[in-house]
Amino acid sequence: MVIAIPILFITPGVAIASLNLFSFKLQITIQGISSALQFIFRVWACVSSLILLTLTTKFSSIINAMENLKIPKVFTMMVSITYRFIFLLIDEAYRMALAKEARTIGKMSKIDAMKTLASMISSLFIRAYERGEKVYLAMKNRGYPGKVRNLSIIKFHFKDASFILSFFIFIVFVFLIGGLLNHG
Amino acid sequence: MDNTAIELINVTYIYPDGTVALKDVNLKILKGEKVAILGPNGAGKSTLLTVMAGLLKPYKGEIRNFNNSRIGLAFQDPDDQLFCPTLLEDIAFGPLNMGLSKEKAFEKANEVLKAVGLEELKDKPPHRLSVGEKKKASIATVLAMEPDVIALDEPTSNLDPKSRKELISLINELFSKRNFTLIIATHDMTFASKVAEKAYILNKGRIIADGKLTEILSNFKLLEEVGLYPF
Repeated sequence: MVIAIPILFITPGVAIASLNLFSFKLQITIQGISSALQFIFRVWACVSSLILLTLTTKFSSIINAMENLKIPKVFTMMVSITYRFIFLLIDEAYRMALAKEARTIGKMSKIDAMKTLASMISSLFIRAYERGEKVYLAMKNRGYPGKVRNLSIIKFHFKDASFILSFFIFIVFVFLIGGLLNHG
Repeated sequence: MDNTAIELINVTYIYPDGTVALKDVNLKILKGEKVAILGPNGAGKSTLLTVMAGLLKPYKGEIRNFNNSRIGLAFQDPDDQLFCPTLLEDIAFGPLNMGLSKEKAFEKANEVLKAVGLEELKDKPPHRLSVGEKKKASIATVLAMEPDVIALDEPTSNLDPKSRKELISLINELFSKRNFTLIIATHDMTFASKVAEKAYILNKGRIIADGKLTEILSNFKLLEEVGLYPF
């Protein structure tokens, strides 16, 4: 939303409102409103379909699918490890915040609070770094050769093909209707 | 040479910050032995196992492995050991790296999961498991590679009594059925007495005693000196 605000002003076109700011003149244009709305809806659609995907599909299946779609393995491996350790990171950060809260009496001054936050962030970073080193050793210990291999277990079935086909037909249909509404 | 699984000669390890973690460690582990490495916190047990497994290079000294024993190490924190999206993939990681085909590796992983009693959890992500299950899974990741030596770092840390008991019977069962040498680093004396036969005592990076576990456990003076008294 916030990112969409400048679009209102910077898109050239017919002005509907203007604002004098010292020597600057800010104008809201009709084209600006329409492209800002377009931007918002686009992001909204992206995020909601992403949420739908992650809520309905197991994460391991998503990664498997990515591997089947020939997305580079370095990337899929990174995503899977990130997903695996993000819970630990959140947990660790939460525990740290709780421990800080437990040892804080009364109200802290703003500067002190900032200082504590900074040292918490840095120690969290160091912990994450050390865990990374340990995990690397654990991988090496199990014969990790330094490059990743495909582990994909799911297969492309007939129903996947039929789903893609029907989805494609649906999109074409939407475009046709849109065209009809615009011209007819 | 003939039946030595692994031998350490004058091994010294110094961390980059200058901490001397191991100092002139000598030990010889024979094939098929069940060895406990006992020591208080910070004695250097984890470092010793990591150096033994060849993951850290010793600063000085030599690790002799004439029979090319392959060593599998399970880390103390199972969250370091398990890093794949599902448990099954995690167990199959090692076998795949050994060059097994995908089918063979997953077959092996299923077999090992059954052996440790976790076959129902195979599609779960590791962060959904309990600590006890994670510990067993850690052992399974190592077991799947069929190493000659299995080294476990503090297998009973953070376990409740029931899980601990289960782990003891699991380790003993696996040891009797499969062919490997067992090295366990722990400060849990009761646990050590139930799984190991031989013991080394590590204190401040040095081996200060070795011998039969029963003898070491009855040497109260020594145990008190290093802070491992059983009561």
